[in-house]
Amino acid sequence: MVYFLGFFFSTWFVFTIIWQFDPFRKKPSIVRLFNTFNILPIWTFFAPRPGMSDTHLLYRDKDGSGELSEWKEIPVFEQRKFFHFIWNPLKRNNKLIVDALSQVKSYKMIQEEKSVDEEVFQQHLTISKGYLVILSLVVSFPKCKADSVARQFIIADTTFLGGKRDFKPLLSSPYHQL
Amino acid sequence: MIPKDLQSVYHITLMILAIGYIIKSLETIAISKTFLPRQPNDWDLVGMDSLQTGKAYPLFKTLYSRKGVITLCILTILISLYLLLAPVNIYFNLLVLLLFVLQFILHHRQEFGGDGADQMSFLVLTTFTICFTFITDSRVHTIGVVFVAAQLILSYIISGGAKLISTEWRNGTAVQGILSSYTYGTEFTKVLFNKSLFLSRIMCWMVVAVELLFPMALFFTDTVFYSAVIMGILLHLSIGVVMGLNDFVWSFLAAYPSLIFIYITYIH
Repeated sequence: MVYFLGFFFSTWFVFTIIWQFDPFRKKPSIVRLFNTFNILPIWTFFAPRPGMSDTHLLYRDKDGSGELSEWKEIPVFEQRKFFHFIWNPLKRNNKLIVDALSQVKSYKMIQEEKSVDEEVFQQHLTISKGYLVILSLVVSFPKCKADSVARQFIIADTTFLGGKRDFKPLLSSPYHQL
Repeated sequence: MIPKDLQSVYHITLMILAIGYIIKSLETIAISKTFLPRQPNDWDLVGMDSLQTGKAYPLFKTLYSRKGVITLCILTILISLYLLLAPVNIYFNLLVLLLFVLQFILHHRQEFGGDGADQMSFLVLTTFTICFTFITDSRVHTIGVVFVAAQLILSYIISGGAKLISTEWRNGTAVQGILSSYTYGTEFTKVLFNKSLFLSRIMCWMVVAVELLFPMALFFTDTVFYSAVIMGILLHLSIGVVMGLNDFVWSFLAAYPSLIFIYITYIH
């Protein structure tokens, strides 16, 4: 028992080291098999690419006559409060949205790097988990107009560095039926 | 609370984990509306590429529905309260095993949207469940304690190393950028770090230094070691206060009794 557990925990430790490297997480391997139950942590915290941007989600509706509403912003992140040190339930929703957004962003990067056809990209993107999580959030907000029939959203990044705010639009969705 | 023997490492660690799990469970219940169908946390969405195929689907669907998650969280709170108050005995061990089963189920659900704190607390709980609940061999207990301490040290080395190769961490814009965002910063940190890139640079290098030099502290004097422990704990507390990542405090704190025990017993 001692030797078996010694071997098991040594393997877990070595695989944790290997798991920190991106290529091992992407390719099928024994390490990925070992991580079936998500027991291999990623310890790189805010590195090597620190999350320095805020992602904004905006949506607008189209009514039956094709008229568009004004853009509305979805409050993705809550402003920091002093009690968040003890109690911060919304960070769990934030992390879910951050993970969904980063999956969508990485799809977009792959499209740009490999010059994937826009139509093919949209087909793949709109059935991805990240996109569907964001879509479920976007459509959970009330209609802009009583006769709204479809909704479109955009994702944009902002950064605030050296006192200057930069705005970068990332993705514009097709219209989704409401 | 300095652990004197392996059993006290086990007891103190489980007490710290219990506090973290009570907070986490209450937070999950507070946002449980998002677990309803067609909401962002709906299992049909977040689990769409998961192990939910075939005949097991209705079971997962029930367990991971809003009601299922609330039930799992309430059970976690009740068990955690017991672990906080009770001495270590057979019932304590049985409830640790049950807590592990509950967290195993919830951990699988939170694969998408989970964070490093969830991973550390699950890693510690899994290790101690395997090594302590039904095995009395002190060599197995030691394996568990060494493994947890090693993972804590590894987390600092990897995190520090990844920052060292990052341009943003080396040129000092990382702290400025992270703490100027709505997501992780405050109005105060935004103003403070945008006034002075120098201050941001100092903070960046301090974080890298604390993370990379932390393991070295094991091999110097008691003063150096305990100073490093205090620095590490303060780092997690400051992440909780400034960035609102409160669960990192409890999950990483839970690994410290193992590290302190290893230092006292084998290195000191």
